[in-house]
Amino acid sequence: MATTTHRSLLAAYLLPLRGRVASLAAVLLVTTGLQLVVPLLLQRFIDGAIEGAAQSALVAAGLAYLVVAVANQAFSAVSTYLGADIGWAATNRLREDLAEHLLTLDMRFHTDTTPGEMIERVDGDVTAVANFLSRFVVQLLGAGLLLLGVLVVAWIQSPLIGLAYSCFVVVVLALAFSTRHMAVAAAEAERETAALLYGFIEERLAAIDDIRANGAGRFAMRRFVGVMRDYYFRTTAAWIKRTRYRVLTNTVFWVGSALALVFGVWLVDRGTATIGTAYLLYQYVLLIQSPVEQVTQEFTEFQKAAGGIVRIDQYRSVTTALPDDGEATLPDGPLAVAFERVDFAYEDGDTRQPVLSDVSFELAPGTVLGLLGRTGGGKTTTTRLVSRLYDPVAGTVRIGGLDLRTVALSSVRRRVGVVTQDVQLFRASVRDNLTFFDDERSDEELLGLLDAAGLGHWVRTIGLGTVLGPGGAGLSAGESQLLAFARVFLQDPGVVILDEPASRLDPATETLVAGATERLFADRTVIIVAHRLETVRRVDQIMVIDAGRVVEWGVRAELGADPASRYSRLVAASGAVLLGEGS
Amino acid sequence: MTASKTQPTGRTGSGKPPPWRADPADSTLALAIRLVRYRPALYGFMFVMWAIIHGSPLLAGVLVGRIFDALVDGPEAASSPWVWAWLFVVFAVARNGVILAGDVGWARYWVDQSLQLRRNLLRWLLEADGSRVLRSSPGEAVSTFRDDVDDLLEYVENYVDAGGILVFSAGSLAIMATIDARLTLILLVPLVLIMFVTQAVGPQIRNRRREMRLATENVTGLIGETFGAVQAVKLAATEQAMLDEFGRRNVVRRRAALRDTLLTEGLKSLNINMSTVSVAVVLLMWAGALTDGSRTVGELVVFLVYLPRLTHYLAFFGHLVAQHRRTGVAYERMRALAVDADDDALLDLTRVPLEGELGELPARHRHPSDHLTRLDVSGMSYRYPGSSDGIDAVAFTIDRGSFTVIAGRVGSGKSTIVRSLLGLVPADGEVRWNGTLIRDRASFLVPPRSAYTPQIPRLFSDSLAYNIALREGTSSDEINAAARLAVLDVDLARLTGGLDAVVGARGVKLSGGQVQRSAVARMFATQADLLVFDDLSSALDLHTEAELWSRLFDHRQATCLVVSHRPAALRRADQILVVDDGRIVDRGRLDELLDRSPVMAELWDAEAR
Repeated sequence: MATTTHRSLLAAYLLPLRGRVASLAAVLLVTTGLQLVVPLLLQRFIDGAIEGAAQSALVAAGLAYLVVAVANQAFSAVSTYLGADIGWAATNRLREDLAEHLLTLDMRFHTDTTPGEMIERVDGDVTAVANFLSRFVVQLLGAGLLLLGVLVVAWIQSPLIGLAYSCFVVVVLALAFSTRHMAVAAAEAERETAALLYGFIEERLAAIDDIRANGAGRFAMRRFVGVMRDYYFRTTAAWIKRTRYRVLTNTVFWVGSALALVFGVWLVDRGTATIGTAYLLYQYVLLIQSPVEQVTQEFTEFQKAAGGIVRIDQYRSVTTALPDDGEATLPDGPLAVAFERVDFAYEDGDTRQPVLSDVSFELAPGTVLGLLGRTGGGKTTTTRLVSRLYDPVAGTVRIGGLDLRTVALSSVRRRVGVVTQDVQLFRASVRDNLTFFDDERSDEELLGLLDAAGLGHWVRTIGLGTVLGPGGAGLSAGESQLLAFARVFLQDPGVVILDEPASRLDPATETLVAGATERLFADRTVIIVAHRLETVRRVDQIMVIDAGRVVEWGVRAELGADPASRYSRLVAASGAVLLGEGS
Repeated sequence: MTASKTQPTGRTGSGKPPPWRADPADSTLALAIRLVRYRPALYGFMFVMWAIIHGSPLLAGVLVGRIFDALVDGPEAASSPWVWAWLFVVFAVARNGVILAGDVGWARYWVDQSLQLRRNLLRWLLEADGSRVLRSSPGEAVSTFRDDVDDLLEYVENYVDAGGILVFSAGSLAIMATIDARLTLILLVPLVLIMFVTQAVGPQIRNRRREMRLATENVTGLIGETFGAVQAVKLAATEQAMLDEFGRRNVVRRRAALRDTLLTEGLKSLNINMSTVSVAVVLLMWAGALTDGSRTVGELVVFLVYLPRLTHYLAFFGHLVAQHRRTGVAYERMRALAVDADDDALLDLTRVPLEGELGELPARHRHPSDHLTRLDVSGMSYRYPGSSDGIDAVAFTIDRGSFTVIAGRVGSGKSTIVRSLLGLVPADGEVRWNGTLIRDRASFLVPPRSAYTPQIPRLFSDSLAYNIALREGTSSDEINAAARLAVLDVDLARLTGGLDAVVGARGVKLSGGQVQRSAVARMFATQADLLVFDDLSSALDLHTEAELWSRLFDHRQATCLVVSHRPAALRRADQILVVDDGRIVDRGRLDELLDRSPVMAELWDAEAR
């Protein structure tokens, strides 16, 4: 199965590059030929010198050697470059195709995977495949041709020499193949333990204040001893394994070349070979060392690539659980939102954890709904169904009167805007963070949106081109939230979902957020998971969700007036603490 | 002690440049000598082994040359080619045996010394007296731990190789010169050329590698960010724009990779071609001499065997010069990371304890003087380097059992006051503990005297219990009690594995609120007298925050210094320090301050609306 996948990959990604592949093949053929000729020229030179050939003939042989050897190196460099070029061209396409496919998959897939895993799949596995495409094919082909060439020349020299060389090549290849795992497993163990060592250091450096101010330095260093011991023993063990493998093959070739000399002496002794041929025998053993090493090394690369290809193939066969077969589009303006007897459960392996049961409500266009309730009660899930990150297990979610499953996904994405608790920022410019790398938008338009979001002053100080740090460093929690608002303004949706962050905001930013929230609420239907009383006091309706059920739903003013309502009790409880009035 | 022993530069900054910087060439060598003193016996042994390994191919040339001379002379030869051929077989086996031993020994030396340097660096950053402010992100700092340490080791490694390589180079040149001095002199021209080219191009290759690494990081970073934010990307329907950006970064990476390939292959080709040219020169110059018998085939073979290796080895010397310069830079980077470490700390020769029992860490004893009765801060000032932000002449007093809140706008210097007090930044000013001046705040203000929770606490990818205790010998009862106080008990009951649950890298498996409460539990678990915490409740929801404050007030025995603008804290405070623009502008209880402090009034309005 793997081989057909290999073949289809080769076909899909190398066929478009067939021009370059053809020139690579040609270059490889030439290099192989030249590599074989170089020792033959030396053979002729030595024999000529011994037999007392004319000086001009020797000079000609010497010049021929110079030209052929330099040309050989030039062609070999060109073939490496071409191979790399083809490999990168092909695998960048594969990376992009794979990333595109993975982005179409639904959140069920993505909640089970970490970004690190995705990097490993989209880049790590594909890089292994890149090696397969750029080197395996090239080098295996080149090395194979060279080995074949050496054997052909050997058989031409004499059947005895041919036989000896054939035996040698078989023995060497068998040995190399039977031991090649030694080096691979070692390299993997080495990488793994290095990752642990540097991971430990990185975490301690990130926590340097926590450690120092809590007097935990000595204990951290004590812990480090264990990490260092593990690193020392596994790294040296891996290193030694690698050395053994290298020394083994090296010994085979040194001894091989020594035996070639012995063999040459014997042949010359018997009068069946010239002295030049004896030198040729010695040289040819050295010549096949690197192709044999390459072939075995490439076979291990091939195995890595095989693993990668299988995984890539698995990912490519995953399909989304959110079929995008609706054709309706959502109208402009604020939209009504309705849940009709909605049940929902997250799939966790074979078991289903019910999260929402029998949830029904209806919001008129332009209503602002506050969702309250304990963590894990189903608030966030409710909002995810509105934005169609998931489909309900039973019941219907309607927006603008349309069943969401009948609406084109692109239309849902355009008309339903979401601000999540964690605002995700890219290590990229403010502009790219706002537009998600869409460069169609004009600066004026973006500055206008940032003004509306209350970030106008900030962005005019630093500029749209400023790169925000990894994870959005350089932006306070409040500023990131405002940037998320600006993203929603850019999208201009009819329904907005706001999962309010519970993070610290200083009073100045708080004022900006309040202003931007007001503009966000204007002329839109809003569902908000609120953490601040300040925000709760702006909503029209309140819904309290507990254990997946709606336990209270009504107009905020009415609920607030009823001291027995859950809302009133909640406000009383948290307000007391917030305002420092209770106990 | 050797003459290279350097003086500590001292934290007071005597301004005297460290000796190794005075003359880069000499001092880098001195640095190498100090490094080698870590395990001198093993290093010396390795030097001998590698001298044999690199030097022994001299013998190979001689043996192969003799074989061919004997073959040409035929039956009249002085010695039988068989003898030489079999000797060569023995030689081949023996040399590889030595390589095996040499490489195993070198693996031990390298890994051990790499750990020595990394340990010294980490220990200085985490344990030494004084303040440590990292000037780079932890990720960048790790690259010093990895790459700069490796650079130093490569330099030390070069000297292990240099001995044997020198033996071979000098020996082969001498043997060739005895055969034909004029030719050998001519051959030196391309060989020395390759030495200079390598020295010049080596750094270029390194730069290309760095470009390539950067381009790769840009690609993997975008993948990580895209899939880390996949929900946001999907909800904003910007998949195509993300993919386009991915494509652009892929192109940049491909170009960088190809430039790297081009340069590496170019240098390799040049190297091989120089050896080819030298061989061709021999062939052409000896064409006549070989036919008239004044030169033998054996002599030719000696040149043929030596020249490729000699080219390779002379390139090594070019590489060595480039490496020499780089090593100075690498060590300078290590020193920059370690802020104020001296050579003795960074090059501490104490062996890494690779085996054996470690013994108990000394238990934390609480002396009567460790109990806080009164803390006085005066004249505390700090400016962040290259910035006008900071604090100026901060002074305040904290009494035993009191609750002090530092309040002020974002950026007013609240966290800086706390970090200065604890010695996390090198601030000026005096802090007195029960009236006694603290000499080094960083090493004094630690448990059992004080404990701290920073604004953004960090967890380690280990068990929750480890993250809370941060030391040995803390009982699970103590940890549980601390967790309960930090309102982490409900979460503990829900977490699979409870206290043994592994929290993932930097605590990613926990919510923001859980990370914060774990750090609070960590602070409580120290049972310190003075608790310093920065914005305790920033990531907590309403219910949890309320619970946390009430448990804190109900069970509090410690003295607290808190950065907060939460009403619950402000109401309870025995004193509020109002900070504005790096100075304490007012202080007192909330009701007094609301009457007279405009800054306080503004903060209160915003929070209590």
